[in-house]
Amino acid sequence: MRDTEIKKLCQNGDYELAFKAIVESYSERLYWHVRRLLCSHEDTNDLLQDIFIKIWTAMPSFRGDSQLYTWLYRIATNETLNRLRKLRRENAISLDAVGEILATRVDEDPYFNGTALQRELHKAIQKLPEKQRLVFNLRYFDEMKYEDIAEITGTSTGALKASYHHAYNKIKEALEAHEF
Amino acid sequence: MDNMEKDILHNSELKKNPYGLPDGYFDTLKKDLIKCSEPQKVVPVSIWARLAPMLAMAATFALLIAAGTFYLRNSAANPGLTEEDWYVFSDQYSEFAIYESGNEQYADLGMDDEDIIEYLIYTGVDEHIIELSKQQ
Repeated sequence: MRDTEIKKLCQNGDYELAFKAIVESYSERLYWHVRRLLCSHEDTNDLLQDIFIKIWTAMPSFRGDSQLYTWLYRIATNETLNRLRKLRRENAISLDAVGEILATRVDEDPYFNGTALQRELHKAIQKLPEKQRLVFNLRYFDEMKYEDIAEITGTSTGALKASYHHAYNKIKEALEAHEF
Repeated sequence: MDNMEKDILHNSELKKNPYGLPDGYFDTLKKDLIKCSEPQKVVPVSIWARLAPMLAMAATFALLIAAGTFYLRNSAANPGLTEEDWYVFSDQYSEFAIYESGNEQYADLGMDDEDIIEYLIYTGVDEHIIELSKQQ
């Protein structure tokens, strides 16, 4: 089902049908978005339930002013960042230390079946600051437009471009430091 | 163009998804997620189950009041301290122990009994204990 049709269902108050369509169209995309940020299948699976409960409860307040998919990504992103902040608070650790933990998760992930170069790429991404990590993932892997990322993150496109540029260079340097 | 070719991040392999999943994961996930929209079953709650926590709180409160009243009445009926209690309190309050041993230190400072009692109360000695000491 197309986004415009799902939006129409929401506007008509047919939330159950709209929700089923969202699950059908977006569960996989949102799963990968969250998984790239959390680097753990179990955590992602657990958080995804919370994200969809949030989507379901927020549906009556979705007026269709923004695009459906940026609205969904915004909920998923906020919930994921909250989860990462909780991880930081619970372990009383710095942002850098969170990056290290996430990078270790890449190494320990039993479902990781990429090459050594891919492993280094994903570890380098985890060591980026939160905002840079987010914009890098959405731009590099999902090839999302800056305007859409701006809607999701509530940041200006100028700031996003600068963040992506910094993130890109850091990762490039990190990969070039290895010999593959 | 040369720069583009050298850029490691242009390697198409890097854009591929390296993360795997348990078999049939998304089918199960979708079924689980759709349940998020199902109305929660409302389990009927009996009046007793609703009132039980409030009754428990009321009972605890009543018990505390009864215990407090019993204690206050009992301590009013037996206001005196045994000799053993007396030594325990005396040891606890070193300042009071000095006072008990003859007031000489305080007298040297030119303090009369009233000054000493005020000072002892200020340092935390119970008035009740001082009163008992006077009676002895």
